[in-house]
Amino acid sequence: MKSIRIFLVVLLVAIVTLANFAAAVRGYLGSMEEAERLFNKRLLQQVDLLDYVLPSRYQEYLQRPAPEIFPTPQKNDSSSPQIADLQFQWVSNEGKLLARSAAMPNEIITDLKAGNQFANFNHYRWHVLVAEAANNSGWYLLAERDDQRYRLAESIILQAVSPMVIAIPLIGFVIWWVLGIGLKPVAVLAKEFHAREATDLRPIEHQNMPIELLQLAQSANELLRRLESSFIREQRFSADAAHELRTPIAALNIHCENLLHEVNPVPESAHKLQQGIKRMRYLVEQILLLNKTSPDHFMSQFKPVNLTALTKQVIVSASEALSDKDINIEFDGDECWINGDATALETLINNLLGNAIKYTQKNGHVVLHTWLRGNVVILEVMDNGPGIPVEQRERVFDRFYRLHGDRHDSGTPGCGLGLSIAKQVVDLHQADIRLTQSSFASGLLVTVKFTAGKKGEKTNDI
Amino acid sequence: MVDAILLILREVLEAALIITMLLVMSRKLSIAFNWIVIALALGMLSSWLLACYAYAIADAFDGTGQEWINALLYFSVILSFIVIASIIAPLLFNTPSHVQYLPLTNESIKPYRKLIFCAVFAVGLSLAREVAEIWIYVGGFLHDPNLLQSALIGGAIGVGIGTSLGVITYYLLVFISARAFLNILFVFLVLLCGGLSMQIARQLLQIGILDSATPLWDTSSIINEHSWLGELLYALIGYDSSPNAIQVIFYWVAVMPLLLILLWNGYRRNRTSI
Repeated sequence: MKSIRIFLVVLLVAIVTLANFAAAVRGYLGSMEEAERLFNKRLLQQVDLLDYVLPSRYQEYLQRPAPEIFPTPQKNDSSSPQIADLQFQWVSNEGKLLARSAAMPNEIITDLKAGNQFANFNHYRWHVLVAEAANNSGWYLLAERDDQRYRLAESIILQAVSPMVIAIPLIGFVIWWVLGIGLKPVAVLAKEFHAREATDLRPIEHQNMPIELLQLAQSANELLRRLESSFIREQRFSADAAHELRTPIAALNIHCENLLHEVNPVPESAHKLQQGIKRMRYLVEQILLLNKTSPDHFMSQFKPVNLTALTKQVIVSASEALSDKDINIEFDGDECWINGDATALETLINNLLGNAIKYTQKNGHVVLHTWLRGNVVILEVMDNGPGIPVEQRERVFDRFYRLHGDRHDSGTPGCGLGLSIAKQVVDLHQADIRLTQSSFASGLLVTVKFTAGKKGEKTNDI
Repeated sequence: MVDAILLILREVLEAALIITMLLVMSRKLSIAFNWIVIALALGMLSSWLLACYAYAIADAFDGTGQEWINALLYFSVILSFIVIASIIAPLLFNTPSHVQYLPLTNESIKPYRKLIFCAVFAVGLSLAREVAEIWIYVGGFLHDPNLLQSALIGGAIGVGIGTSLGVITYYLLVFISARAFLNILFVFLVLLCGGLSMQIARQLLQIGILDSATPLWDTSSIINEHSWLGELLYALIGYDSSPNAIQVIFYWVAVMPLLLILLWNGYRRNRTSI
């Protein structure tokens, strides 16, 4: 069921139509029977009229050699063509035709048996009432055209049936409208959920809410309450962890530096200790960064950011690492502006460039581009390192996933969070990230596509 | 008015049932409903053309054109139903969970294009024949406003009842399991193919291509063809109260491929399960 409203409207209209039309057909058939009885009764009344006039002249008509023919009466009112033409024959007890109306044939049209019968003459089917005349003065045969009787009856009944047919679209519209009112609280609730920011965890107002939705609103509020307390706990933990971990690590680092200066010769384990501390500091920073850029906690407002300037700035800040490995760095591109968070974007470029430097050999090449192509801004980071096999390219975005496990020979600390953070920042900006083959003999090309934004007020704004 | 209701209800009910069954099939197999728009447009257009050229068609082939066209339309619809049955038959022998999750499985295992093409073909041609009869019937009353009003109201009631029954059937079938529905659909296709094939035989008997013989049986005293129930059964399964041997042979010739498809799929299922 895609829409409750459409389902209910279609089904209700179908049921109402079926019931209504079945009733109309039943009513039509019943009314036609009733009309038939009324017409028959009317013919009997005509017999009474004839009985006032004809029986007294029975003997006179018996003596006549030929039946008397009554001419068709001239009607002044010609606007009632639907009135059935009434014809009659008067027949003696011996079966001799005494008189007839002009449209009747000279032959007796049916058997002289009292009751209603049918006869065909003058190209029509006629409904005939055969009735005995008063004072044993023969038989009356009164005939009405069957098609005219049928049409007259039907025209009366159709006046009752037609509105039932015409009413169906109206009923459909009313059902649609009423259901719209009935389902409004559902639409309002859905709209409220839809309009909310991801960070808006206020409880839903459920005063004046119908009882069918009350349970849903209460359950949703309970869920929101638990979610909010969970977020608060997590945020507090992150903040505490940042403070509690950074301080002892910094102290450890200082002590380690002192140790390296004080002890001569420096033992191998002291160098390993320094590397371990470096790695631990990197890991803690990355975890905190991952937490900070998570969509649930991201609170920053997007502003116009000069991606080209930001990229250049990140390259400059990475100059020490680049010179350590004698890496040739190239940058080219257009001036590109996007709508985003400068800090998060700096983290993204930093991580991508950091990865490129980390996995590129000494004297290698790293290339960065920022292109503006129509409405799309493209950031490219390419290296001539070992690259990532095609089947691993989706998995490297998983948290703590490291290519070939921990057995990499980059010599720099890593924890498998860099690309996860990059992906998170890309998702925050509703951008797209792809890993493909570099245009060097080996290596990786990372392409991030953003929607182009408007240029900021200051040209040197990052 | 009753005559108009009966005639139009008979035509509409048959079309509504075919459309309903194929729409539910689409829904159960997660096929988009777009095809029905094309089928309705095709049906309406072709029915209008058939009605427009009704006299020319009737005079063609020494006055047997109408019967030949009808027989051809019935035959084409039967062929479409046989292809549809051959596509859904393997699903009847799959496990219930397979059928239940069929819409979620890989597109490549579902020969949708052929199924959609056959559904469009079947609905379009069924409508062409049935709606053309309605156009011709209503067109016959255009000269007399009094009779036209009665025919139009009767027609509206017939269309309303037929469509409502189709809608109610649709929602009844939508809420049953995919497996149960596919079984019902297959039985429906068998009965409909049988009924349509008897109509082909009737058309060919009318123009003397086939020799008429004495009816094999006569059930008109139990269910008269022209009663409400008879009309309903005619619309559903092409009921004929007094069929002759040729009609019965046609019935089995149309039904046999469907039964063979069913048996073959059952046999294949048993063989693979060993």
